[in-house]
Amino acid sequence: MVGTEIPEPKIRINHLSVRYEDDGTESLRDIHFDVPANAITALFGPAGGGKSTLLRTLNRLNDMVDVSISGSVLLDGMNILASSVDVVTLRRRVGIVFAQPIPLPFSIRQNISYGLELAGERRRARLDTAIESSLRAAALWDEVKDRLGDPAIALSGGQQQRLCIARVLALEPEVLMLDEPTSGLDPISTAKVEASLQLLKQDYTVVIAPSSIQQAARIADWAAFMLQGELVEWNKGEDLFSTPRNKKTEDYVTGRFG
Amino acid sequence: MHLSRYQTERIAFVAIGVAALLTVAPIIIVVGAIFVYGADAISWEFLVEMPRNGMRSGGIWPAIVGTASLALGTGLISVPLGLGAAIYLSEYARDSAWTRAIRLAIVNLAGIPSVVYGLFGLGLFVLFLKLGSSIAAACLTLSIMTLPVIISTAEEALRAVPQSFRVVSIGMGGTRWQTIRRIVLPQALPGILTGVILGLERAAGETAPILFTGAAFFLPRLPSSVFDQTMALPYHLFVISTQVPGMPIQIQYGTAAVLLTFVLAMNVLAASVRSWQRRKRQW
Amino acid sequence: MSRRFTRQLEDGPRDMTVSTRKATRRNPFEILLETLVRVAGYSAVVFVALIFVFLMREALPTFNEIETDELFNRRWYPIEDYFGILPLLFGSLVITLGAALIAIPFGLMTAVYIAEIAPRWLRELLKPLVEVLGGIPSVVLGFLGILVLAPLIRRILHVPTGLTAFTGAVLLAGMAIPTIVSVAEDALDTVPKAYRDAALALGATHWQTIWRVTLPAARSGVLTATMLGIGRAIGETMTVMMVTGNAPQIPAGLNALFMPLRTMTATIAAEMGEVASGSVHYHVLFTIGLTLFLISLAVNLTASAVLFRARRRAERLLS
Repeated sequence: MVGTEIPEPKIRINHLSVRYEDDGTESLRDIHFDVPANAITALFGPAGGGKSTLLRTLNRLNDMVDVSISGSVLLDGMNILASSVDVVTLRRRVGIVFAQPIPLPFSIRQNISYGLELAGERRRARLDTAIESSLRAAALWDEVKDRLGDPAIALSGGQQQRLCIARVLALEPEVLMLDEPTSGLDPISTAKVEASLQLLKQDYTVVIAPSSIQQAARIADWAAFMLQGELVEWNKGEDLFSTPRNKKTEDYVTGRFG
Repeated sequence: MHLSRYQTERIAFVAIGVAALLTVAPIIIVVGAIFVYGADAISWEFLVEMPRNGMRSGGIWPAIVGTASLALGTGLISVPLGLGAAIYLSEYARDSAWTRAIRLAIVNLAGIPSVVYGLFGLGLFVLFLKLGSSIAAACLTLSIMTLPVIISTAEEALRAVPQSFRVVSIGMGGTRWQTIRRIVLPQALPGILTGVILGLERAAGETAPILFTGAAFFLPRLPSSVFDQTMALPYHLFVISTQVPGMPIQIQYGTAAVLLTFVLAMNVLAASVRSWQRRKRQW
Repeated sequence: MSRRFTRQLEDGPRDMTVSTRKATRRNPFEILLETLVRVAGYSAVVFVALIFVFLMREALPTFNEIETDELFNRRWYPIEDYFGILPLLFGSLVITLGAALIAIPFGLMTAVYIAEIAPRWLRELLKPLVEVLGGIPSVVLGFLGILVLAPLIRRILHVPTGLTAFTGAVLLAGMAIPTIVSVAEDALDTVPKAYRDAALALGATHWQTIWRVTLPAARSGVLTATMLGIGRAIGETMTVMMVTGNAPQIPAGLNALFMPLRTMTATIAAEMGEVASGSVHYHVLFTIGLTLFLISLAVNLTASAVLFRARRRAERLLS
C-alpha cells in the first residue's frame, strides 16, 4: 500500500479487512487510505479487486450478508463500523448507486420520493421540491418533467441510471458512491453522467468504481488502485496515471494486464 | 421389425396424444353433464329458499350460506397466519435446521388426508376445547388444512419479487419492515391473492374435515352463532345422493351444479388475478 | 397446486446469501413484527405436532382395550367386536394401486403432451382445464360415480353392482391425475432449454429428445409428481366412500377388482358419526387415522429425501 494521508478527510479507512463467512474468501486486506471531501475518488482495478465490497462496507450494506470485519472507517471522524451506529441514518448520509439501474416498480415521481418517504417526509411541497432539484442535479429533469407519473420502467437504460442517481440525491447525502454506474450505458448517456458528477462534486464527496480505466482517467481527482483485495497505490489522479509509483499500477494502467 | 426413428416418433406422439385426449375429454364431459342436467333445477328460488319436505324440494339456501361462512371463517384464520409464516420464511429466516423443519412440516400438513383432519378437529376443537360441533370448530380445522397452500403460494409470490428492490430500499436507509410494507408485499399481492383464492376454494369443497366438526344435514334454521352447526354444500350433496330415499334427481344435479359453479368461479377469479398481474407488473 | 410443495422442499434460502436479516436497526415495532411472523412460521411445526399428539391421545387406549393381534384379524365387523383392520388396509392398497396404474401413465403422458408436444394455443387451453379437474370436489366426482359410472360398469362388465374397487380406482385416478400432470409438467418445463437444443443439434428427433434427454433430466420432479399423486389417492375419502360399495372384505383373486371393498378413509368417515365417544370402536377409528397420518408422513419424507438428494446431485453437476 503506497499513499499519503491528507488532513481532515471526509472518510478515513483504517486497516480495513473484510471476509465473507459463507465461503471464507477474504475480500479486502488491510485497506488504508483517505477519501477527501468535495472530490471524485476513483477505485479502479481488475475484477475481483474488492471495489464493490469496499463501497458496500462504507454504508454498511454488507450487513445484509455474513461478513467479519476488522479495522475502522471514520466518517467525519466517527467510526461507522461500531455496533452503536444507526445504520439507517448512515445510509442516508452515504448513498449508493449500483451498476445495474434498478428502477423501483413505481412512477418516476414515486421513485425519487421513496427515500424521503422512508424518512417520514410527507409534505407534498417539500417532496416536489426535492424531486425537481435532484432530477436537475442528475441531468434528467428536462427529459422527464412532463411525465413524472409514468412508470419508471418506461425510461431508457441511461435515463434509468440517472433516475437512480437522482433517487439517492433526493436524500441529500454527504457522500455519493457509484459502483460502475455507466457499464450498460451508451457513450452519450455516459458523458451526461460524468458531466453531472463533475458538477456534483462541488457539493458532495464522490466515490466511484469506474467502468473503465479511461473513465477513471477522465474524471478522477484522486485514485486508488486495488488488486485482489489489496490497495496497491493511492494518489492524486493525474499523478497516479502519469507517473505511477508501483510497477503493478504501471502495468495495469498501460494495459499490460487487465 | 425395425422401426425408423421417425416411425417411433410418430407412434409415440399418437399414443401420447390419445392418452392426453382420454384424460382431458372426461373433464369436459363431467363438467358439461353436471351443468346440463343441473340447469333444470337451478332457479332463483332454488338458490335462496329454505329446503322443504325433508330436503326433497325447495331451495338450498342454508347450504350456500353455510359454505360461504365456512370459507370466510377459514380465510379469517388461515390468511393472517399463513401470510405471516410466508413473510417469515421469505424475508427473515435463514437456512437452518429449524427452517428446514418448518418446511417439512408444511409439506406434511399438505399431505395429510382430509378425513384425518376431521379426526383431529374432532379430538382437539370439538371435544378437548369443548367447542362442540360448530362453525368455529369446522373453520379452525379447515384453516389448518388450508395453511400449507397459503404459505406455499404466498412465499413463492414474495420470493418472486426481485432481490434488487430490497437492496435498493435498505441502501436508502429503509428498515426491513418498511421494505416489506412498501415494496415486497404490494408487489407480491396478486400472487398471494391467487393462493388465497385457491386455498379457500379447496376448503369450500371439502367434506371430510367438516363431517364431525360442524356439518349437519337437517337444520331447521340458519345458524345464529359460530357455536352452531351449519349446513354445507359438499356435505349436503353427499347426503342427498347417498342417504335420502326418494330424493329427486333434479335437486341432486342442481346442488352439484351450484357447488361446481362456486369452485369454477374461484378458478376463473384466480386465473384473472394471475393474468392481471402479468399485464400490470413493473419488473 | 401441488407443484408449490415440491418447490417448498427444494427451496430454502440456498441462494439467499443476501438477506435482510440483520441489516437494519431494531426498534421495538420491528422487533414485535419479527416476533409475530416468527411465531406464525413455527406454527406449522406446532400444528403437525398437535395433530400427532391428538391422534395418539385417542388412539392409544386401543392398545389397552384389545389385543394387538386382534387388529390384524381378517374381519372388520365392529358391531360384533371384530376389529381386524387388514381388510381396510388391503382395500386402501388395492384401490390406490389400481388408481396409480391408471393415473401414472395417463398423467405422465398428458404432462409430456402439454409440456413438450402441444402447440402453444393448445397448451394455454389444456393447462387450465386440468386445473379445473383438480378443483372438482371429491363429492362431485363421487356423485357422478354413483349416477353414471357405476351403472355403466354394471352393465358393461355384467357384475352384480357397479360399486366396485374398479369404479373407485377410476375416480381416484381422476383425482390424482391433475396433481401428477401439474407437478410433472412443471418439472419438464424447468429442464433447461440448453439440454433440448443440444440434443436436437446432435440430430435427435423431437421424440428422442423427450425420451432420452428431457424426461431423464426431469426425473426427480416426475417421481415427486407420482408420489404426490399417489399420496392424494391414498388420502381420498368421499369419492371412495360413495362408489366402492363399502364392504370390508379382503380382496382375493383378480376379480376382486370388480367387487366392493372398503378403504381406511371411508371407514373413518362412515362410522365415526355413529360411535360412542370413548368406546373401543371410537379408539380403533383413531388408530386407523393415526396409521393414515404415519403413512402420509412416510410418503412425504421419502419425497423430500428424493428431491433433496436430486438437488444435491444437480448442484454438483452444474457448479
